[in-house]
Amino acid sequence: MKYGKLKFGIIVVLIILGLWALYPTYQLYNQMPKQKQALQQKIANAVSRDDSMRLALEQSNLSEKEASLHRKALHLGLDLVGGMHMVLEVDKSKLTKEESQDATDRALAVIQNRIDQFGVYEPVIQKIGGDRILVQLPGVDRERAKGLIGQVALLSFHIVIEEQKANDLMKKIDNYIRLANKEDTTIGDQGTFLSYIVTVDRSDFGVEETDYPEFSQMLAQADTIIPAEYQFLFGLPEVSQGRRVRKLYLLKKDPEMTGSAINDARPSPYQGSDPNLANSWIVSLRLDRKDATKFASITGRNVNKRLAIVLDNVVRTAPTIKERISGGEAMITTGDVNPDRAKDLSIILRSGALPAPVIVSEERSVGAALGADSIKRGVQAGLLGALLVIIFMVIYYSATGLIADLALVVNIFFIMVVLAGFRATLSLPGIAGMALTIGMAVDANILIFERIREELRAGKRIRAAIDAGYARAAVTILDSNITTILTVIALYFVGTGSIRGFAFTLIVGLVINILTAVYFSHFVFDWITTQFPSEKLRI
Amino acid sequence: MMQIFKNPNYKFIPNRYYGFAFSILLTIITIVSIIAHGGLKYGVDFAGGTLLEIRFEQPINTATLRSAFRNIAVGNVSIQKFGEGYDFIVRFESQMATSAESTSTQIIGLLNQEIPGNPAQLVRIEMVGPRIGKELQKNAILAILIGMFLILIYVSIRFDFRFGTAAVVALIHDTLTTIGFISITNTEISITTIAALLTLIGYSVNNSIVISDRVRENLRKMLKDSVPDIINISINQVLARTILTAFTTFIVAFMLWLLGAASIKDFAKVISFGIIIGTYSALFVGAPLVAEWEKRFPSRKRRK
Repeated sequence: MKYGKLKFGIIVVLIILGLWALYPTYQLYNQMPKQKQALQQKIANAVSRDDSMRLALEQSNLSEKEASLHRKALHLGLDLVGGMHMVLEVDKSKLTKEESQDATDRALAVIQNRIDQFGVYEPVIQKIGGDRILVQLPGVDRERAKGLIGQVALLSFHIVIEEQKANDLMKKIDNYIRLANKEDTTIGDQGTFLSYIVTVDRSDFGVEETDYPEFSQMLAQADTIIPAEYQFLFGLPEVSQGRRVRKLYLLKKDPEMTGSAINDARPSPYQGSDPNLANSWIVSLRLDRKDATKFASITGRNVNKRLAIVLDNVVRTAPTIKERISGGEAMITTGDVNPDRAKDLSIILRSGALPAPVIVSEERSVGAALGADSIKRGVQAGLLGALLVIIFMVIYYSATGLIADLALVVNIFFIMVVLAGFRATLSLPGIAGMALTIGMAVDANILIFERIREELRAGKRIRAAIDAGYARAAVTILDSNITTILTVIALYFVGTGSIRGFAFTLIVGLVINILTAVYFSHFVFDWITTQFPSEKLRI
Repeated sequence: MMQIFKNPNYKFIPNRYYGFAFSILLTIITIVSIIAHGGLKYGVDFAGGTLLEIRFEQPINTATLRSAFRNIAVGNVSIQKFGEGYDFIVRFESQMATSAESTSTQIIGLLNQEIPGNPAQLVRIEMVGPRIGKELQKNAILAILIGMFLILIYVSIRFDFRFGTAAVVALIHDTLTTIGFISITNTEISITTIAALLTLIGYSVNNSIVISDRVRENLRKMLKDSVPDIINISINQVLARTILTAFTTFIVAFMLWLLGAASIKDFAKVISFGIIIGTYSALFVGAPLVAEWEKRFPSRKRRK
């Protein structure tokens, strides 16, 4: 056989290269979970402080290794590992023309910054179609990611109005509402404003969570009699003495300061004296030098008053100013024993505010459990299909069918290699694409084998029949694969997300298909017929 | 040696009008089905709206879930059950979850109140705004047209214009009939079904190419036969491989349909049907069209 040894050498080298390219993928998806689990077990069993320290170090080494494997391995799509896909639009309705011009770009930069700090492997954050932002985050918790992205992060500091004045105003509102609703008998006596207000933490006003929607409606109704320089704002929903409540604050409308110049924001455990906050996490803020001076004078002027820290129109904390604060430090309480919220909030504050709220105009999220399940089922179905095809080929073409089967296996192997090499993302449709290529891969061999049979029937000798079969069928295989590739390219360009993944997998599969059918299986066929010369070809 | 057809000599071309009539019938069925269903059923991708995939710990029936959703009141809800009642896909028209404070979690919470003792878990959520849906619709049609146009160009260059045109007519036929299948089986048009349609277009044309290739070869060899005869002989010569290639791909697609996860089932279903119709149309529509064309307007080269 001409250049037989050389061809054999090339094939062996390619396979070795392929194995080398796929090894990180194997490590990442096969060994990594086991190692992680083993470590978790050890952490759970750790007794001494030294143990914990050592294991923490081990854990950080392991996640570093994981990150480096992620850079080399075949990527699994959102639908397989879980995660979210979102298309965001900046709500420009409240922006001036000038502001809205680069609002999307600014939002993109802010979101990019937040996600970078959040630490997601391989996020996709890009501008699409002029004024939309595509965000894809594999393997993240949906609620957390949305909280991270969606917050505008407008921070401001407001003075809280004294309790007496607030009480007076609320009574006024109560009267006003009673009068306004006098004709409406359905509400009755309990429907009054004051009856909704409860006391929270001994001194704060609050509203029960279930009353919140109705109460905010009343506030809106009473808008005309609330002095223009005042503003009612709520706190976050919280549990106090077994009730779910939101605190209610009356604030000066004009902020003393805005948080545009936050120098740093870090999560840290609460160390103050409030027993409600014991064990919880806070975000420590450090202000710019300029703002620190301003902050000092504000706090100096307002000793014994309360200062509310307001984020996106929600009062996060409203401590009483005990003395002038000169260091430029402030804190936002989260009231949460889990550090995640403090961590996310500090990220948001560090990366600055969004120019305007963002609207989620498309979202696709997949839980990780479904991902694992779909992989399993997709792969099982694909493998079963492949197995049936493999058996069929042997039944129909006897021993020669094995050559097609070998080509099929090589084909799948190299699709994986190329996908890993291009750092492409394998999604569920991608698995479907790969399964389809299995079906199509044998097509090429069927065309060749049928042609060889035909040549044999026409009286050609085995060797000549094989060569003629491959030569003639090659043209047809090329033509038919190219037309498929052309339409799939059309699909690639108009599709988005996972459809692109599918199209790419299919294109790769078809190209490799041409190569394995025309070259690889030809080589194997030649090699076998030279090694085991026979008068009759079992095809 | 195993062989499905031993020296086949079926009269495809002489009987072509039966094929044409059957295809026209299929097209009429398609149109009737679409009208009867009040248009095609667009999925969340195109119509906009929200889709939730929910998994329960214990199986429940659709009616229970439906009445639970009636109390939750998110508008018109369509519920689809998968398997033994653990998995459901729920669709509604409104685009909730537009804010960071998401309603889907609340819905799961409410569901757990409505159906106590059987916790539901949100497996997947898809939410598409109406503007994006419109664009997607435009893109999908564009992709199909571009795909067909590329095939027309390629086949016309590699073979000739008549083969190219006939192949594309066969493809249009396949696409229409498959849309009919989608309509009859009440399948949603989603990105996935569009991907399946496009893949089919690319794949179905293979059969036409295999036949055209053989016709071209025979035209050079069999100078005395008429073009329609040559086409008939060619179809018969490649009949076995046309059926076999379709069969192997069908096996795989069918397995995906049978065993694949919910999100892949529609795709596999459309592909499975499309492979069958694509094979039929190559034999009974595409090649016979070229013969018909040649009969009415013989090409100059072969005119005696």
